[in-house]
Order: sequence, then structure tokens, then C-alpha cells
Amino acid sequence: MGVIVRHKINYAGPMIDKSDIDAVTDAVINGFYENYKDHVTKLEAKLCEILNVKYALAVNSCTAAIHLALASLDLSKHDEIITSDSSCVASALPIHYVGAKAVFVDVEADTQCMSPKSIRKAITSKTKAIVVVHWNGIPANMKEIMHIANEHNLYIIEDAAPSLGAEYNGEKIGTIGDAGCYSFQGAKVAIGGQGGALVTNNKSIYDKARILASYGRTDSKKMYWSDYVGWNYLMPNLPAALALSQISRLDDLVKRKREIFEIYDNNLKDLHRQVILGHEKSGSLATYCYPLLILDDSVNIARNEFVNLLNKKNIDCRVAQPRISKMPMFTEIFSNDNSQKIEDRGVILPSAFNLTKEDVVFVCNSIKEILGGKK
Amino acid sequence: MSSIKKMILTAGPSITEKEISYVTDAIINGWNENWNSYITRFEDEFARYVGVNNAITTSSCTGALHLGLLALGIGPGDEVIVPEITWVATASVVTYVGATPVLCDVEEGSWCMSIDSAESLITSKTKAIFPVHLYGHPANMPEIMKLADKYKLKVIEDAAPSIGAEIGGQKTGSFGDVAGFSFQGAKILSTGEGGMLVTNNQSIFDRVKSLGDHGRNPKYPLAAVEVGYKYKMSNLQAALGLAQIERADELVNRKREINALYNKLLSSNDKVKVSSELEGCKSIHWMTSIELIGASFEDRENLMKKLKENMIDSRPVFSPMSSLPMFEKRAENPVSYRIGSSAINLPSGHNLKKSQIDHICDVINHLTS
Repeated sequence: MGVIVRHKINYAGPMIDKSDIDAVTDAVINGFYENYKDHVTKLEAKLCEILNVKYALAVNSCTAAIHLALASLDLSKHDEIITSDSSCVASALPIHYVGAKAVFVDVEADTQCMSPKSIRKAITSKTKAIVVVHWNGIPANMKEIMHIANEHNLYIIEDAAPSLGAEYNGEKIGTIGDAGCYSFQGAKVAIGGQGGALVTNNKSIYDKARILASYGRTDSKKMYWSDYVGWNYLMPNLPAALALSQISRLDDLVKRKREIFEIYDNNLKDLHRQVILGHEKSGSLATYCYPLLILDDSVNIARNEFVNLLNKKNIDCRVAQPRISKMPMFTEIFSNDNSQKIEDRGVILPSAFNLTKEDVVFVCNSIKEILGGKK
Repeated sequence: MSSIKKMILTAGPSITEKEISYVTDAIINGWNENWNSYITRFEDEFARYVGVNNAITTSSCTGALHLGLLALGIGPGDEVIVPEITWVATASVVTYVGATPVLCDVEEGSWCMSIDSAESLITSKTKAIFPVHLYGHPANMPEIMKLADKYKLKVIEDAAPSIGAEIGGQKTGSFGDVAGFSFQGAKILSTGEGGMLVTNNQSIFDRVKSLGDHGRNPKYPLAAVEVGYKYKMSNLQAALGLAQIERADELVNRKREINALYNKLLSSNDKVKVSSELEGCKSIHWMTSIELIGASFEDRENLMKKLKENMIDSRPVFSPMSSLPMFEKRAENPVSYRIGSSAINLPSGHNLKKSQIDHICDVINHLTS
């Protein structure tokens, strides 16, 4: 087989057009002095409009948004908060920041999002909230999860980092629970370079979060007066201008991500015994920000070797996230088999916006070629 | 005086073709394999400018200082000496790591940490000293380093508003174990929000890289090995920051010109004392400030109100941290309590015109006569 030097197939990267360039140029020229938060304010208003929520707070990361959401609830030290074992560690770190105990539950095999059955198993008298992760852009089973939350009087914080634009039974992901958190980091669907947002219909959560995002500053007694210890989680105009421009064509961006996923799905169909792609349930609309493939145990190849072989073809795919509960700062309570399978056998496929159909087909053919010799 | 029709703002950056062209390049090309091209250039150039080995961008100076304290190993039960007069971030970050800020007085002239007051508050629990280079004037770092040496304390510099300031020819941020700078929208160099951590200590630098990236182990990109934080700056902001740091000398000179003008035009007014610099120090005069001699808090409020009626925005000097409900008061700190109620920051933005400074000084001279 001859060596074919091919251009790099990128893992994740945005779609930037003329309107994005104009928006950012406007922010650098005009976004200071009296306009120092214009783009941020417009981004917040636009989020409220497209998501049909009352309040949006632009912040400097999705991690910050989750932290603020949790800090705005009345939690105490021995409270337990349930989240997914298979996720970015950022879903769980804010639970640690607020001093609560993170309880990690397993995910479903199809959506790769937290399984309602596992949640039920994990609930105790100390459980106060669930951080629901819409993992890789696929909506979690919100009907069941909201049912459990109502039954046990739990807060629901949606970690919708890569899921802005996703839907569940016609409702926008991030707006179903008490608060939703999104990321505008550069590898997401709609991006700002860095940044995030917190959305909610709950005035008390919003008011607290807004003050805590700005050093607990209230100016209640005089200027520069803080009544609480808070953080600096404010988003500046530059990334806000880009995020605003991007979410103005969110539907197109989601559509393009779904097209990339569909090419994977169609081309890997005949390998269904060997590889499983995480996918939405009927009634859901995923953003498919990061397609996550699991190698079946019957395939006789180590996951890392599989990733290495694809990397050698200049395909930037990556190993999937390890279980958070096994990281040294957290506690493993349940064995979580599906999460373990993602850790051991999961591969995240490239899905950058600059991928052509030929690029995605090339990735699929490369997978077939590798697995062809490994039956 | 009547020619001024638009509010004169207190602060803001200088944006030129250079800034616009770097940011435009970043928005077009700074993705995929180039996602951090400006971040690394900004960090390298910033480290060179300050004269340190390592610099790392953060989402804010607060983020940088939080990571700095964590990397120094400051934690629950420890005490950190912080000056009373500072932005609330300095004392807040000490509580983030579970330690206690112990608030000391500031000295006359620089309004930075008083060495005598700091020394008097050192206990067996004191682990670090946290000077602030307030409004761009350097704290007395040679003496602070001696004090730290004597009591075996770590030194973390809050250099937020002091990019380019020097003492004995050495730049602020290069004295202590670690330091943080700010690029928030009002600062001398701006990225909107943003910060930079600098250190000469390689192991602190390595720890901070991991702590500021969710605690991830650099060897296994997705696996976190400790509790970390997300304090990252975007490449877009770094493009703006790079253009600004390349113009640092020009921007520092401009701030110093503004201060010299204020000092000249207010020199015959014995009711106000304009910020200047102590011997051996180079202040960047981020915010030129005046103390209203003998003024009460109400006098100050009144003057600020009247300035505003004359289209002049101003800011009060920060309240002493020990007056806020979250922090403990351990000493009287009279200089801080006096400055904190009788001093204000005057407009010092890069867009300020000579005619506006003339107007401001005319109004102040008139109102205080």
C-alpha cells in the first residue's frame, strides 16, 4: 500500500464567515469605554430570544456557569449531587467547588447520557440536585429525569456545554431544568473562542449568579462594595461578539454538524456489530458536536492502537473520556459498566466544520480498513 | 468649561490599526491547528517584557492569583498578609483556597503595603505576603522581599494595574514567587477581560498549567488528576493583548504624561494631593488619583457628584477590605481608612485629550477653592 499524504482531518473547529469577522472587528474598534459591555448584553438578549427564557448571563466558561448555578442554590456541605460518570471532568468540578459530594451514575448505551435507572439507584436522603449532562450534544432522557426530580424534590442543572441548539420533544436543551449551562469554547457548535452562558427562568438563581459572577459586588453601601465573596466570571465583548454572530445562525451550524454525523452513521452502518455510535432517541434533536464511537468487545484490537492507526493517517480522532469517579479527587460508588466501556473502548471521531463529505468518507473507509483485518 | 458636552470617562484602552489587524488575523486564521498561535506569542512577549522566565494567560488576574496561591501550597489554616486598600479580588482569592486574609495598612505616598504594619501582623500561621501595586505605583518590593526572607514567607504580587511599573529598575511582577497582571477593560493594556500569571519558578509554572486546565495531567489529556479550574483566555483576546504589549512603552509614557499634566495643573491647589511617585520608583500612573485633604466620606461623595455635573466621571478609592462583611478586622490601619474615604481616581483613559484635562483641573480648582 502506497503512502498517501493527505491533509489533516481536524477534530473540532468552527465555521467562521464574513459576518463573524465583521462582528469581532466591530467589537475591537467600538467595544470599550461606554460600550464596554454592549456585545455581552446583546448576546444575553439573543440567548433569551432564541431559547425563550427569561434570564441569560454570559460568563467566561461553561464550568463557571455550572459553578454559579450550584452556588445560587441553597446547598450545604453534606449534600449530594448526582452527575454522569462519563463526561468532561468540568461537569463534576463545580460540585467540588461548592463543597458538596459528587455521586457518579452510569450512562445509557444509546445516548451515552445518564440513565434514569442509575439515578434512581443513587438517590439518598442527602441528594439535592442532579447535574444532567447532555453528552457530546445528545439530549439526555429529560422526561424521566424531570419525573425523578419532581418525585424527590431535586434541582436540575443542565450541563449543555456542547448542546446549544439541541432539543428534546420540541423543548430547547438547557431550558428544561432549573438552570442550563452552555459553552462557547472554540471546539463547540457555536463558539466565542472561550466563554459560556447560564440561562434560567428562576429570578432568584439569576440574581445570585449575576452578583457572584462579579465578585459578590452589590454596591449596596457605596461604590465597589461587595456583600459576598464572589468570582470574576465575566465574559468580555470580544468573544461575546463572536458568540452572538454565531448563534444568529445556530440552526445552520447544528444542521451542518448533523450532516457530518449522518455521513458517519450511513457509512459505518454495515459495521454495526463492530462499532456503535452514540445517537439521539426518537423525539430528540442532537447537535452531534462530538461523535463518540465504541469498539465492540468482539473486535480484536486495542482502542489505543485503533486511535494510533487513524492518527497515522492524519485523522485527528481522540480517546474518549475516562470515568470521573475514578479520578483521585472523587469517589467511586457504582461500577457503571457503560461508562467503563466508553473509557476503555470509546473513540471520538473528527467533526470539525471544515470537514468535507470526502473527508468523513475517508475516515469511515479508514475504520473499515483497520477493522477488516481484525474480525 | 462649557465646551465639554460628553461625559469624560475614567478609563479605557488605545486601539490602533495594529490591534485591529492582529484580531482580524486571529478571527480568520486562529482555529484548528492555529487555535493558540496568538496565546503563545502573547505569553512569550509578555514574559520578555516583564523580565521573567514564564508567563501564562488566564481569563482574569483573579484567576491568575487563585492559581498562584494554589501552586504556592497556601490552604486552610494559613494566613496571608494583604493590604487594606485594594480591589476586593486580592482578599477574595485568599479565601478561595481556604486561607485567611490579614489586612495591613498602606503607606503614605504610594498607598501600597506598609512594611511596618505588615510585619506587626505576622503570626506563626502567616505563610505568604501579598503586596498590591496600587493604581500602577510599585510597592516597596526590595523591603518586602527582605521581610519575606526574614520570616520565610512566600511572596505573591498582585500586579494587576502595574504593567511596566519599576522599582530600582526592575519591573513589578518579577520580584516574588509568582504574580498576576490584569487586562480588564479599564487597564493600561486591555483584552476586555483577561489576565496573566508570571513566575520564574518552573515547578510553579508546570503546576499552574495543569491547575488552570481543569487539573488535567498533561500526559493524559482528558484525565484530571486533581481539582482544577477553567481559567483560559481565548486566542482572539490574546491577539489584542499581543498588539497592546508590543506598544507597552508608548502606552506607559502616555499614562505618565497624563499624570504630569494633572500634577502641573493642580500644583497650586493645597486642598488636593495628586498621586506621584516615590524615589527610585517608576509608577505607570494607571489611574491618577487625588486625596482631598481633610475631606470626609460625605465631602468626597459631594465632590464626585459635582464633578459629574461638570461631565467628569470619577471613581472612589477602594474601601478598606476590613470594612467589608466577609473579612476580619485585625488592626486599625488609619492611613487606609483615611485614603479609603477621602481619595478619588481621576479620568486617566488613553482617549483623554489635553483640553479635557484642562477642564477637569479647572473644575477641581474651582470646586475646592
